[in-house]
Amino acid sequence: MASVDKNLEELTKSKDQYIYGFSDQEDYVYKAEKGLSSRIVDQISHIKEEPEWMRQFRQRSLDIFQRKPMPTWGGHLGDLDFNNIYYYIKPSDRSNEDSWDDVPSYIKNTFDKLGIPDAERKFLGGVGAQYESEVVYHSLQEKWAKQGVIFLDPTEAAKKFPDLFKKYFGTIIPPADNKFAALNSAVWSGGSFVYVPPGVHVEVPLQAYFRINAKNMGQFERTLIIADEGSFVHYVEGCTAPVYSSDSLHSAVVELIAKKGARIRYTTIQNWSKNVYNLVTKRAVAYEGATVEWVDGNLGSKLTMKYPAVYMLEPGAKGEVLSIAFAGDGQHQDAGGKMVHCAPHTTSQIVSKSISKGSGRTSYRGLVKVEKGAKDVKSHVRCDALLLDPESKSDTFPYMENEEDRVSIGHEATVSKIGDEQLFYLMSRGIPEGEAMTMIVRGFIEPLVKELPMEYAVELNRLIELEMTGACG
Amino acid sequence: MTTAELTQTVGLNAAGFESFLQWRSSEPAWQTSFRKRSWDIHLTLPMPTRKDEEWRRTDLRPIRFDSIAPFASNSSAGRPVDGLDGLSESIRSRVALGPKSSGLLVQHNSEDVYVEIDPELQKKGVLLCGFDAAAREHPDLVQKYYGAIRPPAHNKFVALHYAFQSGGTFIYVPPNVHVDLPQRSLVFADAAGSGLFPHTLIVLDRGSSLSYFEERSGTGGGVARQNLVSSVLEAHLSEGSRLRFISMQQYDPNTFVFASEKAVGAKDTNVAWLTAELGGKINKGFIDCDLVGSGTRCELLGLYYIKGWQQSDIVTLLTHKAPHTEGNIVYKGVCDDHARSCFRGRIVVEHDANQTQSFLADHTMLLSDKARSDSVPTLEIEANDVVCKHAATVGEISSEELFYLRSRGIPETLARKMIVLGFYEEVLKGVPVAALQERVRRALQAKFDYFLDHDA
Amino acid sequence: MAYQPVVKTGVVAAGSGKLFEVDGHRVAVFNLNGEFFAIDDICTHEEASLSDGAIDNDTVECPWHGALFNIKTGAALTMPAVTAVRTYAVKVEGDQVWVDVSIPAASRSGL
Repeated sequence: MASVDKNLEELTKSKDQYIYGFSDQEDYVYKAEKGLSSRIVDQISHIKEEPEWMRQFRQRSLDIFQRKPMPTWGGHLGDLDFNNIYYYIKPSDRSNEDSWDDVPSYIKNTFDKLGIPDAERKFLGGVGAQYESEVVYHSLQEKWAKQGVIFLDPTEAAKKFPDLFKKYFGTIIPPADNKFAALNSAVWSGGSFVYVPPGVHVEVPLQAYFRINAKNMGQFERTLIIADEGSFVHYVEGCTAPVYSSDSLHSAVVELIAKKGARIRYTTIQNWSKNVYNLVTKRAVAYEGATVEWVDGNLGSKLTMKYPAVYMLEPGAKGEVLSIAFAGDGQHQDAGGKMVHCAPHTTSQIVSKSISKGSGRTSYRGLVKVEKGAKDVKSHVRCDALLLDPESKSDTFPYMENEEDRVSIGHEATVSKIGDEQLFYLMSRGIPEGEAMTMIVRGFIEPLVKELPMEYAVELNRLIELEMTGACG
Repeated sequence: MTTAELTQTVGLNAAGFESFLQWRSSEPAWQTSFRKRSWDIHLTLPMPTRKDEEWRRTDLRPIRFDSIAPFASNSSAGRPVDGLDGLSESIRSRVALGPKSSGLLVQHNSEDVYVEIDPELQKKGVLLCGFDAAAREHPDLVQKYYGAIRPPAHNKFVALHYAFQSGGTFIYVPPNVHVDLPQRSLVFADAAGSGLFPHTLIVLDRGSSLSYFEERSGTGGGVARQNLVSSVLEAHLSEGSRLRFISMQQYDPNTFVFASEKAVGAKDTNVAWLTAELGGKINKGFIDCDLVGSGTRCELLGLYYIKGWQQSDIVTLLTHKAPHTEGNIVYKGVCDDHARSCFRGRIVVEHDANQTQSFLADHTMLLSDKARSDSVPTLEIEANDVVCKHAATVGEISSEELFYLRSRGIPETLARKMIVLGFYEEVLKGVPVAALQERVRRALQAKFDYFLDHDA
Repeated sequence: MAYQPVVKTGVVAAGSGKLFEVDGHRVAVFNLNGEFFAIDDICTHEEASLSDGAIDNDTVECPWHGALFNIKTGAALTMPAVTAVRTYAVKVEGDQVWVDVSIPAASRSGL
């Protein structure tokens, strides 16, 4: 116990030293400034002690961001004010925000109902939590280190493994890809860098909040995962607990590389508070015989625009997206997936289940593309949407673009309300209407929920129940 | 066959428009002022670019608007002839292909050359005439509906249409009159390097019904000049009326075709509408149906068979605006060689349209590894008491089906033909008028056979 | 080989590219320090026009999403493009640039 206390003390001290280490930059570091400029980009790079190539990368990206127009499709982005956002806040300001007292009561109540694991709750409660997270973190770290697995904050990774980092960073999602990728490329901070050596199977899912500086889980995370040949890793981002954020914009970039025979599963259940714009670019490349699976749950945020993608670059590669979206009053979940077949004998699957409640809107937006030369491709997309209330809305925008004849591409979608017969059946067995509807909704998403790690499945089901009873209660 | 002489200023531009106005100097004043307003609208609207969602695959840059004549004046035709024998050989042979009809309108480019209608129907008040004749002879009726559901501002090409409109068909069916043997119109275009802007206006009064076959065929006579068609169709269905309609397009392969078509169905109406697309270089079609009254059903069917460097680019929009309506969109297409298709099938259900059932199926068969197809079936739903589904598939010719036929001694060529033609049956049967189905079947067979004979 | 005259050398300035339609193909002709190259104009990612792209040495950047292509080989150098663009044979005679877009006969439906 004592040694852990000492470790904690040392860690805190080292963080303090990190902050004070730049006395000549003291002005900038202390003042949290709104808005975006090349000066702020330089500050970020300087504070992180980045190599020159990264600083230039950020500046070029800023230029691209400023030149690119806003997208004219998707959700309503008209109220997004880029000048009213903090693009970088020094760590000490961040920790103040995470004080338990500042968390709104509806979230505190949720924790009670959900029975959130103590570690998480304490984590949000302040230093006490760090204690426990640290212990967990350290023990896992030893196990990974023995296998050669690298799991670090990307800034640290850039310093400790510069060649590896530079080789892959920004190669899957270049800054010019879209406006929000450019923004992230300019001001990114936090996220994860994961490297799994050949043949290594990481049995325990890697979870972002285990890392010591997960408190910087913030607006512009940048995650890069490289699974070397024949390896396996399951990465879980975020948590089902509602994440309170005064930040209005979260724009992350996630790049995955699955080398020959490797498999990556990336699970996200996002539940940002309902004032947040969640605009994310996620893309994977899969080499020969490799598989990438995105399990994507979207429950929170005011507007989410997110389309996890898999580019199958070599024969035998496989891509899969399992997507759940739940939009309540005032929410718009615009999500889906993209599968790009660039090689023959590749297969893909997208399954999307959406639920709209109250005035919520869910939109499925997806792409299946078969490039020239990608023969014998099989792809199947299935989107189902439930509209619970008269004001609920749903859209489906599936794009199929095909340049080969020897393919089998299929897409099906249905949109409907809860069937009267189903409801009647349950109610005639004495189940009250609200509960019956909840059961039907849970059954609707069951095929996807069973793909989640157990504790997430349980929590997700409880969250759905909360949303449903809130409506009918 | 004589290629029509072009004595006017060439170009779909201001000078061409002036020249066109002179050619049309004897038309009713209301028509002229309508087209002048439309020309102004055309000038203010931007040219669509590939950044516009519905024009992503349409490259308009090759079109040389200044080299396309705004109209074709048929030097040989003065006025409509009395008998079919007065028509040219090529037109007569087209007419002979059928189907048998209760009314026939033939236009050579944009001028009427033959009209006949069953006297019984005529007695009942059914009108079938060339659009320009209708504008002169039934101005009140035409003005009431012209441009009402597909106005010039819809897009730049629709505005262009209304500016240069000439030719087309007008059909009116009085209350409770039923036209079972189809009415038929045939436009034969042979003026290389010119534009064609026919307007079809169909008005079905309460409780009436109409079967109608519209055929557009063109030939450039081997002259490699660009042709352009911008056609508009408006169909008004009053309460309780029923429309069975097949339109078949076989334009010259140098033709840029812009077709903008819309039907509006009031209460308790029934529409079965098939668009068959075989010709043209680029076929950009907007095919819409609004269901504004309850109890209405609409089948929007389409087929295309494209080869060479042809491109089919269709957007269909079925909008449910009232409760208790049903929709069914079925599109089937075959692409060979370098042909390319793009299909966007939109189903929109508005907030009040509860108890809607709407389905879309879109199937593409690719016969060559150079062919390309894009498919975007979409659903935009704002009412919750609905059932909406769509399905789309893309694939090659079924190897199992091929094997099955070949194993029964059918040679490969014939087997392929049977599979390709069989592919369209579901769509053809959607319009329950056997003669019309048969006519399209024969046209598909002819295209298949023609390329069989002409493949090098 | 079926070369067709496409453009005069003076029309495409050094360090720039222009779009031409040759036999149904959309071809971007580039002038790199006096040497002429021709590639398919259509970006293999989302069909933007490469003749509108920024040129740097022998690469062109697609104006829509920034994918880089090698003008000489057609290779796709960065995401989001993955497939190379077609290159076409070019010859210059006097002040005339000729391009050959001939390709193997398209496969008919197995006939």
